[in-house]
Amino acid sequence: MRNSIRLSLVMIMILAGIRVGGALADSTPDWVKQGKRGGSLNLFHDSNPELWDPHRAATRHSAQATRSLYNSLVMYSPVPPTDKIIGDLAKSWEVSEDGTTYTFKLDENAKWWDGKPVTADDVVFSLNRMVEPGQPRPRTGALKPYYKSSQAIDPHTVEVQTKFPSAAFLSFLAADYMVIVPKHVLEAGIDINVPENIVGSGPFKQAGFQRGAFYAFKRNPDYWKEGLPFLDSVKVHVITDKGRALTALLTGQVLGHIPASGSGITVRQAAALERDSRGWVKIQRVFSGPGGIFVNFKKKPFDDSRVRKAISLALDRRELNQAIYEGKAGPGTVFRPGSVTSIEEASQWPGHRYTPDGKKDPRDIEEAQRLLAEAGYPNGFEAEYLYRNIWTYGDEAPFVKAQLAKVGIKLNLKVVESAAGLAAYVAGEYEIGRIDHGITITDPDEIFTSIYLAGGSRNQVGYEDPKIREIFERQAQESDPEKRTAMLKEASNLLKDGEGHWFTIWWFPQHTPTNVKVKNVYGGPTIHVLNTLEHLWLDPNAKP
Amino acid sequence: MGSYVVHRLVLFIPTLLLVSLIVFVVMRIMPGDPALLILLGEGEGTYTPQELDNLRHKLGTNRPILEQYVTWIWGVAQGDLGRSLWDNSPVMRQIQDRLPVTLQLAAMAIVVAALVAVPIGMLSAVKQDSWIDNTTRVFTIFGVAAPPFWVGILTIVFLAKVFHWLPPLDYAHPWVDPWRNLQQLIFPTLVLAYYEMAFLARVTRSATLEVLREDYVRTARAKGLMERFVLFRHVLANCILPVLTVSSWQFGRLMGGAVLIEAIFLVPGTGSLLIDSLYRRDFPIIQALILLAAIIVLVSNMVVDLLYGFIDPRIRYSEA
Amino acid sequence: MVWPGKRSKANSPSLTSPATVPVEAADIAIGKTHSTVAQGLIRFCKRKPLGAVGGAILVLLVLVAVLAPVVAPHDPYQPNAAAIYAVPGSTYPLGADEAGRDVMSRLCYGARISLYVSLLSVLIGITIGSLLGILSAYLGGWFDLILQRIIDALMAFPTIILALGIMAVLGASVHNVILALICVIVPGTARTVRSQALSIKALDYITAASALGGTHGRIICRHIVPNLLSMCLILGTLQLGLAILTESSLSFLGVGVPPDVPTWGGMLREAARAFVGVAPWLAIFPGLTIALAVFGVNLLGDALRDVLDPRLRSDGGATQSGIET
Repeated sequence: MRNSIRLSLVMIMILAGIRVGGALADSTPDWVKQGKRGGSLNLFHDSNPELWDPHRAATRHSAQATRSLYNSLVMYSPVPPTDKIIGDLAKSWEVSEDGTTYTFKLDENAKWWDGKPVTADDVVFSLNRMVEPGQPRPRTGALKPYYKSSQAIDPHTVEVQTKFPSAAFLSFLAADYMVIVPKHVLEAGIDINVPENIVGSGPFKQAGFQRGAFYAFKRNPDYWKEGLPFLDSVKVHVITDKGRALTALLTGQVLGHIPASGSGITVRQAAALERDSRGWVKIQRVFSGPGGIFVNFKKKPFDDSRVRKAISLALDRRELNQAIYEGKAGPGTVFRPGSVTSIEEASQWPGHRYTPDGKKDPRDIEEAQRLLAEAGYPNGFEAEYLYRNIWTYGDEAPFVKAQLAKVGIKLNLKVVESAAGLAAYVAGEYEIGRIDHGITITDPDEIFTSIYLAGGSRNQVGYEDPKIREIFERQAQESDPEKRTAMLKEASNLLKDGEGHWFTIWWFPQHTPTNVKVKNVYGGPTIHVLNTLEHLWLDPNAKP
Repeated sequence: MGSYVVHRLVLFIPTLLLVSLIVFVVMRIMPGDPALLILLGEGEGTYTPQELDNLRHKLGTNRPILEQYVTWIWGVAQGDLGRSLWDNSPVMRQIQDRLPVTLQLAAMAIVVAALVAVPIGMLSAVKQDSWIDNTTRVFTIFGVAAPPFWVGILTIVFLAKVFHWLPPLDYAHPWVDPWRNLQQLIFPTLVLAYYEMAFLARVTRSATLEVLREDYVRTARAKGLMERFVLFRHVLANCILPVLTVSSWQFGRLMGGAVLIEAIFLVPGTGSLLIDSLYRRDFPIIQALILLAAIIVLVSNMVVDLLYGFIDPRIRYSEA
Repeated sequence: MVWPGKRSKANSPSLTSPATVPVEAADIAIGKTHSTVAQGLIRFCKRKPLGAVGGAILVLLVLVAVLAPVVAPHDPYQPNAAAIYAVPGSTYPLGADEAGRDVMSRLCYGARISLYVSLLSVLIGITIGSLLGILSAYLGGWFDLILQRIIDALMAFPTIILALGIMAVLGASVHNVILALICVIVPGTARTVRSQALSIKALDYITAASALGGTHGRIICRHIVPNLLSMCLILGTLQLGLAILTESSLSFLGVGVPPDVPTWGGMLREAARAFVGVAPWLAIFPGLTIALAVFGVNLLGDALRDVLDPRLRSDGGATQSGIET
């Protein structure tokens, strides 16, 4: 079923005021009954979790380390259909007619590790904390455009008001960063960024953390969800060296990465792993988000839209896809492939076109050269391509350089440490940059707010086209899914030609390897959701 | 000699101050603001300039550099190494966790290296220009030429592909689980020892050759003493000096952090902590580790000089 | 590393007085031999076959570097999506890397960078270091005191960390790597040369020359410098090995030259990321080349040392060639 259609149905149901959301406590789902209890799981994590305060956290690394310690109001379903939002702490909820008031009913059994119940006060406190001004709120801050206020109606009922009706709000609430934290602990001044201090309500408790080496979970024996979690304990080894991680997977020292969240291993490594493990290790692919090249429009010649268009035309996206992902990445659409633009449509876009025998369409190259000449650069120009020494950026760079060289743009490759690179981007000290953006939720709103509008995390130089801003505001409040899609198409048409500062290259996949012995491993819609381990169980007798 | 030691120790202070100043300043010149990094995460997320200012204020990175330096160095003089910028844990504790590991690795590597190097070095010298000598020389010269990080990578590939075995992932202290500890450290030890052994063997060979030419050795031989007796008694005793001095120097270097090897073999020592902290711009940890490395190098150099002066009274080294 | 300076032999009044040995060596170093250079070379090869091998390796590598455009079968910069991780075969003799570039071609061009960087940094580093060392020894006083403290401080840093720090501040480029390597080489050289200069300075015939009314400059040029030339030559070969290894370590960590420029260390870095099941052979050749280069340098250095100044065969010289691991 197409994502867009499902999204529309959900939206219609929400806006019609119909109760949406399953209740886990009412009837134990089948998948809970089927799981085997017990066992100790060894996983790996490709990076150190930097922050243990989920509201302060910015990356999936922190989300992966903390999500199992807490609960959120709502969550994505851990078993298919995994893009359905079900309740976590909330056993049910209602949305008002005008779509701006949500009423959540909390599960009465929910309690903190210290025995106190999880109440509406905790929820209100947490929601306010997520949008607290003046504090670092890299991911939870995404709620700010939507969230207005919340109140505790009674100990187990919360009412939340939003500034305007939007389906994105609930999706954001289901992200791994938007967990509920204990009011009584924080008001006592305890710093929950220290692992030892964490008091959660989640299925696992923090059981040790050695930076650079591992972090561990142990079962919460009084977990308020019946039948969960399955595992007795989990030990997550931090292995930043991919080669080492892969060999650990091969030898069975670890049984996988924290599932469905992306592990940083490349497609070739994934293929080699599946092959060498003779079926023991399965790879899961999750679409992570749009990856793109962005230019600093405050510097010449990138302020000229003709130059930007030329760059977009010259990029050979298919070659990059082939080189890095063996063709498995999605096309470089503005919004999620298939949601607004179909894959077939995208393949007709200038810059994305190919001849029947697979070569880049020469019309695009000619047009790019023409545009450059018109803009005053008939012989091209030199530019610095700044990227960080992580991920696949280094592997792509030689290809990007060769591609742009065809229209006369000579790139000087500059690779820097991740830290230095981010600083340079934020300070506007770059000419051409490159980043893959891992989206938090699948709603198109995030594409606007993070990439194309001023203040976005991928828009350090603050480029904003007033036309795009106008479309964003219109579509965010549009309740009719068809009308909304039409507006998104409008935006897409504007942006695909290089009107913005960002040229989408692909929608890149992340691969997560897991041993067949680990059960209930499914992918969420993005890598920033569903990082909880409560649904995993171990079958020691499983075979490939 | 006592006054010499005191003299040297006193000279430590300006040197260490200089080291601390250099590292402090270099850290601040390097691009990469830790407050910004903490907020930015891996490039995900949003923040407001107010949040950035608040964090900088909290971390203390917005104060003038001189003030930051004085605060820090004053704390160090009192034994307070500060706290990590990222997770606020005391730097001292992190170093305490990691130092024994690097210590064990360095010590094991030197001991293994010496045990192999001295015999083959001496043998090579005694049988100079024979096939034994030439083979050994080629072997050791290659050992010094092969980049240790390359040897480390090849070792892991070999182990994984041929034996399907890898060192265990979690570090265990030797007094907790000696077998696991051995498994984890044996291969990085061997890789490091290979390099140091080659080095030391060359030194031993040279030293042995030197001694063999000495007049009194020739005299002893002429007197008809047994070859082996001559060898062991005189030559060994006189080789001890260069071997000891070079070993001390090597140990000091390894304690500075066998950074690449620790990274490749996932050894949780000070070397990998340093690299980690460098990438994250966790200044207090970096500064503390480099000071520590500097102290160790200075101390081991001093020990080397003392050994020289002590063992061979003919050589009294005096520095200007 | 401290240089003991006053070794027993240097001061023992025997027939092989230090006054004669270094001068002889210096004469050879400056080329004032009775026979021609070619004859000297042949004699060297006969006496020290291993050294000749080392020299030959170096010459071969330099030739490959200079003639890279001729010797390399492919363009080392041209990426090729279809040839990624190609197995060694007829088209790609040593296989292809993660961007489909020919490994052998990149090794050939890599020689350019590695050798250029190392040779240049050693040349400049030894020169600067020697000058500083001589000045320090000769002038003494406050200059010497302060310089020695600075050198102590710099040498207390682990080599790779020092180089890393400099690169992090300056940024990745060929010339910055050279700068970083110079900073690593200069302190050790200065200290070594200073010790040697000090011991020479204290020798009787220098004092005599001074008493006879020789000017500072004359003393330095006629007596001190020739004695040091041979030491510098030997130090140079040792530091060259160190430079090659340090440069490859920097590239391995990803902070060396710009990324698409082929270097041996950089190629090992990519190989380390790729090896498991994907392209294990990529890890072998770049490392082998580095080892070969340093191997040749060390063989040559050893032989030079044996020939020019047997005194220096003991520990002191050897310890200069250590690197951080």
